[in-house]
Amino acid sequence: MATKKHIVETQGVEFSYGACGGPVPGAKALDGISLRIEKGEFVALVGGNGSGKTTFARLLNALLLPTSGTVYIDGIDTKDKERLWEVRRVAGMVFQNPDSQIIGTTVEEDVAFGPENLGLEPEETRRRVREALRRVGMERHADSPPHLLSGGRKQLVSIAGIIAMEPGCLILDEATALLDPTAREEIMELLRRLNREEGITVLHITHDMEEAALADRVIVMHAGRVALDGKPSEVFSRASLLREMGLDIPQVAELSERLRGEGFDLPSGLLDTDAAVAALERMLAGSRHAVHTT
Amino acid sequence: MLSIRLENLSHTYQRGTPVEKTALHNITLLIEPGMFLGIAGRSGSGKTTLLQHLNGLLKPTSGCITFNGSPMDGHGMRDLRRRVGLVFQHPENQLFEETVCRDIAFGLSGTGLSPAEIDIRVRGALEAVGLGETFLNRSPFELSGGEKRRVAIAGVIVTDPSVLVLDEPTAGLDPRGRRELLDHIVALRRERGMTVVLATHDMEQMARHAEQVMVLENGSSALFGTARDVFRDVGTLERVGLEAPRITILMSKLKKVFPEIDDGIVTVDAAVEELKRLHRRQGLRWRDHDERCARGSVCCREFGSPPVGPQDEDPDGDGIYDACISC
Repeated sequence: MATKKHIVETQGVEFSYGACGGPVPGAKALDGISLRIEKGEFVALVGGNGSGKTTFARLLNALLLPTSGTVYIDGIDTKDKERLWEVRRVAGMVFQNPDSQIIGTTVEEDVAFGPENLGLEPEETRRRVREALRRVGMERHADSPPHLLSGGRKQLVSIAGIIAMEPGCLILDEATALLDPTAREEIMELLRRLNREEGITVLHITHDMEEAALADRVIVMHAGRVALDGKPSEVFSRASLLREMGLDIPQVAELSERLRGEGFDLPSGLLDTDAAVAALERMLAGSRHAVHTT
Repeated sequence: MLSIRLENLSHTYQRGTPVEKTALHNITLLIEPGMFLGIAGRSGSGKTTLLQHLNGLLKPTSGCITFNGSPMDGHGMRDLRRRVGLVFQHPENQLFEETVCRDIAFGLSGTGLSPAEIDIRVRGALEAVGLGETFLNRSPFELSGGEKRRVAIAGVIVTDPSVLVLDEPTAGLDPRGRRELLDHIVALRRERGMTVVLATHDMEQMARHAEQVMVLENGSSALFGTARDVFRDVGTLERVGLEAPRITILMSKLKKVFPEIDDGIVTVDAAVEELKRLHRRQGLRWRDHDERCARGSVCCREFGSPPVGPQDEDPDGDGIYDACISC
């Protein structure tokens, strides 16, 4: 039974698109996914195109319902029609292309769309919109037309629109894929702040392994199943498996795995640049020392 | 063979109106035949504007662009667009035909080629992007995102351009999709001697493939040079909102401890080689038992420096190093 401790819990979830809906008619897009995400976790979900990431994300806010198995969001079964809107409020979704989810003629109006539809009092809506824009650092742009903003700022507005609904979990479906490096970094910083300071659970779907390395936990999907699930350092030490699945590993991890493969003495699971510098320093200094003592 | 020269090229959108915006400012650049040129910069830095000058879609508002030495006028434009193939951002949005084959062949309509020749060209283009003949009769709309994009690129290379210009060709693709697409472009360049101009945010990709890199900042050239030289300038890259590849940052931090490290390392391959070389050298001993180098100076001991130097080699291969950096 799902408990409230887990904001996301899936049990044996399978999903097939109908005969015309999917790339391969009848094939299972998801094939038995059972996992739990605790409140307050920062999880990165990675996997190649067609691995089932987006399908999974859509099951979490009941845009899709599982063909078999169950999805619980904050303890609520997503099949429960009565509580559909509760599920969608708790599991807020941000998509890859901001243009496909921005509807307002001003930033403020756009962010207000969600809370207004929750049936809140106008005063409460206004307060939440102001607050959300402040949290993403866009309060100065409240009156701007959103379509004239840069891609990165549009995504900040999209996120504001979600957090104004006070979700428990923020699901980002490749929300950084079309952004430049600075804008990506801004989004990642915002996500980490929302996660650390406000305890919002984050599920960040990405193709960027450097971003995934910043999460507390990395889930790797392949062919509709969970292939790996663990700390970034554990997951990215499986370099050859990840490559077989068409994924990359962060450069720092790749360097240390390659050197380890040639017999050099380095700890596994190096991801952080500074930690890697220290380990390489020890490796090189060690070689000097070894010779001197012989 | 086509060489393209930009001289003090500037472009201002909507000039003379209240919303005028200078997107490019005094760009001077020579694109030589066979070159692999990378264009980097934040969103809005002018990358797309620059690329659209290369096949005459935009004309400079000041300065000039010449193709093999002559400026472009209306008459040559059609020919120019065949010789410079431009792949737009998200080119899959331009697919429109019923089959992959007809979509790719569209660029050849009106060229007077016979159906048999067109067929050969289409098959060649499809193969060049790594898709097999089974795709020919499929609808482009039932393909995956990565496949659609490759079909769209095939539709450009089918005209056999001398210069292939790509605007963010791998945005939104997964790591394997990115790698494969780039590998095909590299192979094309090798086989056909094509010039490649690539705009991307992906600095690791840029580091791996581009020979020359121009970094744009607010429409001006902030850095230009070989990939090595550009990425070594971590400070400028940060200022313009880009990040050197993680491996370059790591090696430059390590260089503070081991000053002999080459600071132009931009790929993991190069870093592995450099660290192995360094490790080998760290293991070398002084010829002198007193831990002095063969030249007899005491400098090495005083500097506490490892036995490394410009005379990098260990000619006898005996693991004994002959001179230190200061001698």
